[in-house]
Amino acid sequence: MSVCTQCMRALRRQARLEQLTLSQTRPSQLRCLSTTSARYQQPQAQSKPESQVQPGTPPSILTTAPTITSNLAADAPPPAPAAGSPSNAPTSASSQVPAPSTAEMQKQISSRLGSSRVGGGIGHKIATSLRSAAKSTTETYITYGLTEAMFKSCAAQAPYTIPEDQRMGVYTGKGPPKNARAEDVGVPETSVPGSQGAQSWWFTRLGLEPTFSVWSQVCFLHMYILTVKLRTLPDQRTYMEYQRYLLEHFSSVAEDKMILLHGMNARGVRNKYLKDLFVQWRGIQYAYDQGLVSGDAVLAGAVWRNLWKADEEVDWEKVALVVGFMRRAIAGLADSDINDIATNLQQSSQYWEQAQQGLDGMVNLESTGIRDNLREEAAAEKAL
Amino acid sequence: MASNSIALKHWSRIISRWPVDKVRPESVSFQTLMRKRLEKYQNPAKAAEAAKVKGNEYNIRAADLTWDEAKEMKQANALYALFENRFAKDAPFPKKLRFPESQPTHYDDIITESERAPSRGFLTKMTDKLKGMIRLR
Repeated sequence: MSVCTQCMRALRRQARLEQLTLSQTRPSQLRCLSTTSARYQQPQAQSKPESQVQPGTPPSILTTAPTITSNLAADAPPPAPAAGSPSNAPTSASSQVPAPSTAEMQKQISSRLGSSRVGGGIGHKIATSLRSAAKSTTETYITYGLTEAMFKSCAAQAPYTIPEDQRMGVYTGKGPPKNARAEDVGVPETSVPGSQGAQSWWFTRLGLEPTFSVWSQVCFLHMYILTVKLRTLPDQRTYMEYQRYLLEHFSSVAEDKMILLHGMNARGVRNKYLKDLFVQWRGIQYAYDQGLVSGDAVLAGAVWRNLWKADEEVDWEKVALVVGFMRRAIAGLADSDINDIATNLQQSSQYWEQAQQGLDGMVNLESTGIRDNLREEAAAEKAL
Repeated sequence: MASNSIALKHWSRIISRWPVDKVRPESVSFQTLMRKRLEKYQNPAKAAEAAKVKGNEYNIRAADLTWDEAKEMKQANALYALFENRFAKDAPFPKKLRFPESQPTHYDDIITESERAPSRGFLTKMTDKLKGMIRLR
């Protein structure tokens, strides 16, 4: 096919543009230092049924919301005709549309950079070389990534949202319903990856409401379980870094929810609530620590005060279920490595679900207190 | 609610045996709140009066104040299970986590602190607070 000079100029321009985009995307490749690189680099490790897979195309490993730098694995409509041959790609791109979309450009670049994402492309190579050359400098990125994976799993356990038509209650007068504590009551969120949404144990079995307060308390509970494991890190400073990042992720998402779902546009109000949440988090750590060593009754008291806000009409069977869940989840983490835990939690909520199995049976067993008392009663009646 | 209800007897035993929390205020203690819960059944009119919220008369629903013996027995059973440390025995706290490498005395410090904190004098509290502000490593 002969190419006219104008098309030749367009092709050269295109190639230069791609070169420029290539050099500009290098800083974002450093994000491969986090565990997100595992998501992009190893498709066989992932099996997410809810991701956007078109029939006939290789499975997408997209797990984050599409953004300008994270959408490397997106299928741009229409799909590129020949991902493998670089000479065809510029011609097809330039002949189809004058300015291809960002997703299309990124797809072309990534197909050229790494022949296959298994084993990683240039980003992964940069990441591993930086990691071996400057271990302590890159440590914080690793911590950030691991804690992000851990936190996302915690946040997915009791996910809630406020329907869009109820979010602007201040302006439209149609806000979300309020419960007896004057909290906004939302609905369980169904689109969180790795979460059971409305079928979550916390909503179905424990009957908790989908509110911000329940979401934050359930997050804290799971974060606490992970903190107990993080304390086993050899260095206290590393442990504190992990703690700080975990709380950082929580605060960031909590603030997002305050703005988007509850319409708290005033920074001062949000800061007040965030400080309150920090105090709650510190209190929870102390209370649950005390409960772990002092016995189930003390732990149940702590769970009752935090998760159920010291409700008089609480169902103690449910509190007992949560105590059982906590103990099992903590005991199960003893022998695993932190990296393995983060990877496991990133893939699914299976670990938490396993800890929830069989607790009803345990709670329903007849306790010695009931059995003995009835015997005493019967003996007293006989004596009379 | 019959005063010879077995479940009520269990409740009284549980409330008297529940560990006393010296750190948190008594108004939110287990004992205080559970006694309030039981009193509602003994004196429904007084409880309804106490539950009224000013300006909210139309929204008040009379709580269902029938004593369900079977339900209360299950509550007592769950509380006894907690007393007996059933869940702690099912999934014991592993030694690796109980004495973590970065802070081996962490949990013991929590217990010591919770026992000492309520009886601390004002001056001791101030000195501890100042010492805690400056952490030398």
